Amino acid sequence: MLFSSWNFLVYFLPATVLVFALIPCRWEITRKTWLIAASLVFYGYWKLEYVPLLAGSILVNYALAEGMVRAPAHWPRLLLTAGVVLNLLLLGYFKYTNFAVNFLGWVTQSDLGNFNIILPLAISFFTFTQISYLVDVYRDRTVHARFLDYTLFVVLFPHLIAGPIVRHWEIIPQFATREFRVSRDNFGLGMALFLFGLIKKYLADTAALYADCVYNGAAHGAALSTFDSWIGTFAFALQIYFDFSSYSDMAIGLARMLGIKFPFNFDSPYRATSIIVFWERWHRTLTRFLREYVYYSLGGNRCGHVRQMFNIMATMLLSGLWHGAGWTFVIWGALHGVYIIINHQWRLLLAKLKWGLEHWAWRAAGVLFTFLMVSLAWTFFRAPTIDVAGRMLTSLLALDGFSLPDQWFAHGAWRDNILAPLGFQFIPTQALNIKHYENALANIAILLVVCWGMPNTQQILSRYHPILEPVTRPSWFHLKLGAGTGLVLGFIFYLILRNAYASEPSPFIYFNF
Amino acid sequence: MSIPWRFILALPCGFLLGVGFFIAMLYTQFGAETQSSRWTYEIVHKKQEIAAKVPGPRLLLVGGSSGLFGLDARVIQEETGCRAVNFSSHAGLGLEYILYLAEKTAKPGDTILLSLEYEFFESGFSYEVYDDYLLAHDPDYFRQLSWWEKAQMATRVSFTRIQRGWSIKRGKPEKSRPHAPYADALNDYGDEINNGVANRPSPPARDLGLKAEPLLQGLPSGPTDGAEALKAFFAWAKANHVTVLATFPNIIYHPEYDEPPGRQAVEAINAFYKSQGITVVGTARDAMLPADQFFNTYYHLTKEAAEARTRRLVPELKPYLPHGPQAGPKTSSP
Repeated sequence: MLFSSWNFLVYFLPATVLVFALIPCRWEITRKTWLIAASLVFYGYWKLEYVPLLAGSILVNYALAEGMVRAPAHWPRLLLTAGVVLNLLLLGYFKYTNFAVNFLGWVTQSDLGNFNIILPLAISFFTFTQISYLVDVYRDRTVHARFLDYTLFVVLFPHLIAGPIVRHWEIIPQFATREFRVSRDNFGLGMALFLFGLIKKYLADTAALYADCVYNGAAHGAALSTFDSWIGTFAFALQIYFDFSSYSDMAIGLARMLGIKFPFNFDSPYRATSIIVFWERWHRTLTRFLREYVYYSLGGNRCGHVRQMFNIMATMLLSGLWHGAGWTFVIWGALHGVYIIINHQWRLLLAKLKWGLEHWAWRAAGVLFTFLMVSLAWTFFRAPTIDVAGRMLTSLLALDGFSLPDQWFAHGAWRDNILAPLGFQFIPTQALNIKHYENALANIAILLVVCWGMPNTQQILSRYHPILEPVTRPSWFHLKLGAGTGLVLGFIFYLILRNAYASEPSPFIYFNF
Repeated sequence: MSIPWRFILALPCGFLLGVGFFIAMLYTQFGAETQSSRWTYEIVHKKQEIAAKVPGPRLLLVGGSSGLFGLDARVIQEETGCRAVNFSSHAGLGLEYILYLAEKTAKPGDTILLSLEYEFFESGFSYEVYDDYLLAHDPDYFRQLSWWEKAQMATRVSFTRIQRGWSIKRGKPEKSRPHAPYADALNDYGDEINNGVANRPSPPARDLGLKAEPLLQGLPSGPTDGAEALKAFFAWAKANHVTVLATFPNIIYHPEYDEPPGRQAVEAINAFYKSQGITVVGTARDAMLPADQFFNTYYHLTKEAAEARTRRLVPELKPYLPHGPQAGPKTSSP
């Protein structure tokens, strides 16, 4: 069930919140059981057959964690290994079997076919959540939770499908606080965050129109000009930005309606001045998971400079594979690994030369360069195959010459007198079906202004403490949740509901992982 | 900092403001005659005129365009002597509105033969045609809807449709669609006449590949809006001494329809009519015909096939028809 779908907005959410609000706070077990049941309905709505898989995974992981707490001597290590292996096997079977078979077929030059395996929704997320719990219990046996709390922590619907990847010590203690209820503050702030998320989803979908035109065209062999490729690349960069930002806001908002604070997950990453900072801001909870459970486990930066570079590369390759079982995702992860390694070398060089580069112009250049590099890497993330990504990159980098869409530059003296003599080629790209280039450019420009010029939702609402951590960077603009804001947000909610009623909402990109 | 109650209360107020705003927008659309609703309007309007001229007792053929294209009132009248009017129009108008039009037209002693598309027994068709038609040509019907129905309509009418209505209201009529057949494509009995094989578009049917979902998936076991609307209609008919018969719509045959979901759908429809005391004339299989007999969609027969199909139906239909002197329009039309 999508957060922006009619069924979620009109039936599921009101029923879940209302019943939870009506159950007295002292009926602790009933309240938690209700949220677990609602979350399972939310999950089962997609495919009922996979609810037992989720339930089984929870039971096994909880049993292993309890075993670690109670078992003597060397057993905890054994149980942890078994737990991590089991989780990875489950994830590997559902997500990577066909990838591995195809790779094996490519190595042996034979057609091994494909298995008909449907990837269970959210498997990457609930697997990572539970691995982190097992590791944490292994490290500190006193942290183990009660079964009902553990189950609720894993299945809680606001984070179940696409994160944030929450940690048990962030969430489970909140179940015991007085704040774990539908209060005026929780509901009001949650609604505001959720509505901000819905608005961003609309922005993401407008960018998706242009990204889909270009990438689908490239996949079907349509002629592609350099200009079109850049439009598609920037459009996708903005689509995924607003899509994931919207999802994160909605997840934080939904949890907040129930009285639970989630960690910060998306901190204006396109304003990052370097790729290292970018990863501190993009999908912060995934970065945290990879840093703490993969990068540190490999030794982090404690084993020498060369080993650190290796660890970075291994972590980013794993990040790529986590996002999708395909070579395009592996290359995407590898590209980011290379970016981060170069960034580290650059930092070392700056330290050696004692250059600060704190002037706003340097910072702006850093933001632009980082955005450009991230956008180029997204090409592999979005393209369905390496061939398509290759076509896109060839066109983006103008390796076959700089070209413009013929139909848009059809007339005008400057085409013949300026652009043509400069060596620009004109290619007919009607097959891409971008009807109005002016609209595409305006759309990209507006969204870039929002990315770079507007504070993020958490900053705007920082006075209401929307997330677990304090909002560190203050904003020039704060929103006061009063009658006027309520009226405007209520009106916008109706407009969004109109949209959900009239057409099927587009899924979140991160729902695929 | 805590959140004031006025923010919480303003949220639903803003929401209701949105609903009210769009309902108001619909009121400003009334009478803006869109080209997209013209064909439906002319067909409905002309059929109402034809029906008004024919004295009772009459046979009214009621349904969507499967009846308009697939049944022949002229043939029925010639073969049975019962005055017949093809009152079928467009399934996009929705079952409730189609039945409402029938209720407005039928008189005591009349017989209605329902030929309803399978989708009416499931979730129906999209509301696009219905909304467009209502705003352009039947604001009175909109006004008598409940507030809930008005709010639903305000929520689903697209921005584009509202914008078109505004443009027309501001004195910018839409260009008429060239070569579109309108009400002049009907004969004096309300039958479609432009669907001859010679007029068949090329390629012959742009969506012949489409299939009726209810026959592929089966019908839901619980009550549907369509079934509820029909029950109300049957009650009205009984109270007004109007006889209701039913038949199955003509549709392109696909072997998948013989699979259990298709058989279940047909059995469910038969059982529903039986439970309501409605006689079903003919079988669903009789109305499943080869694709080469169809005009442009999977429910539209060619004129020749419609005549032949009606002749096959007449012997089964005749025992249930009122017998009166033949006083319908002269059969000047084909």
